[in-house]
Amino acid sequence: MCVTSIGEIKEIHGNKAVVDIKGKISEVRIDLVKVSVGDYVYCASGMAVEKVD
Amino acid sequence: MEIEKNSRILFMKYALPCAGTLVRRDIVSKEYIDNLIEAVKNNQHIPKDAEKIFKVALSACSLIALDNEKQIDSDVIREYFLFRHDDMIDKRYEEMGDFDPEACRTRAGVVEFLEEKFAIVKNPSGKRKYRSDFVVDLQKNDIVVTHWNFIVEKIDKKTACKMNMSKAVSVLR
Repeated sequence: MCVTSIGEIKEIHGNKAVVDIKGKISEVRIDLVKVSVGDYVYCASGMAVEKVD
Repeated sequence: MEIEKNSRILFMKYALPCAGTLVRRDIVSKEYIDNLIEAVKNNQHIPKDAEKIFKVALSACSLIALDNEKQIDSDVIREYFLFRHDDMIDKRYEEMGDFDPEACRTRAGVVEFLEEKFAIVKNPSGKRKYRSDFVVDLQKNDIVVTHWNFIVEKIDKKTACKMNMSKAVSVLR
């Protein structure tokens, strides 16, 4: 549960983003990270928890 | 977002029971987790930023705090671990399927039998032995919340009923 997956930001809509996680498209909240389209983020359970440097 | 100073130990009591996942994946060492458990048990200083190893739980608490325009305090921590944690686990299991979701759930239960460092707790998953070292003055018939193999804290009957009702409704969804 404590482990995250890496996803690529495809679209941003307010505090939510569409991400591609290993080919699976999901929507995540991005309130906690500053991201742009094309960035990679660690995701879990509908949240982006950290930007991948 | 940072956790309110007085609530850091509570966060660690709820989060540390599942740290074995992080150890198994070499994200942190067993020694580091054992030291944190000792610090929490003895109400000692928790190293700065120690809670950041629990990225998912900290982020979930941060979002609850943001939505309620407050800091991460004991209410936010309990709201997450008692009432929202299982939904997060189910979503995570759908995404990854690489852990046992049943082992990870928080459950309300009743202490049936006490040993030196353990207690038998009856909860909706049955009767099991849990570590009791996070809770002082534990008594038979106390109502507690469990996470993985730990008793996290005592809770009142109203909270326990609300918790089990919330989980029952969640299963029906």
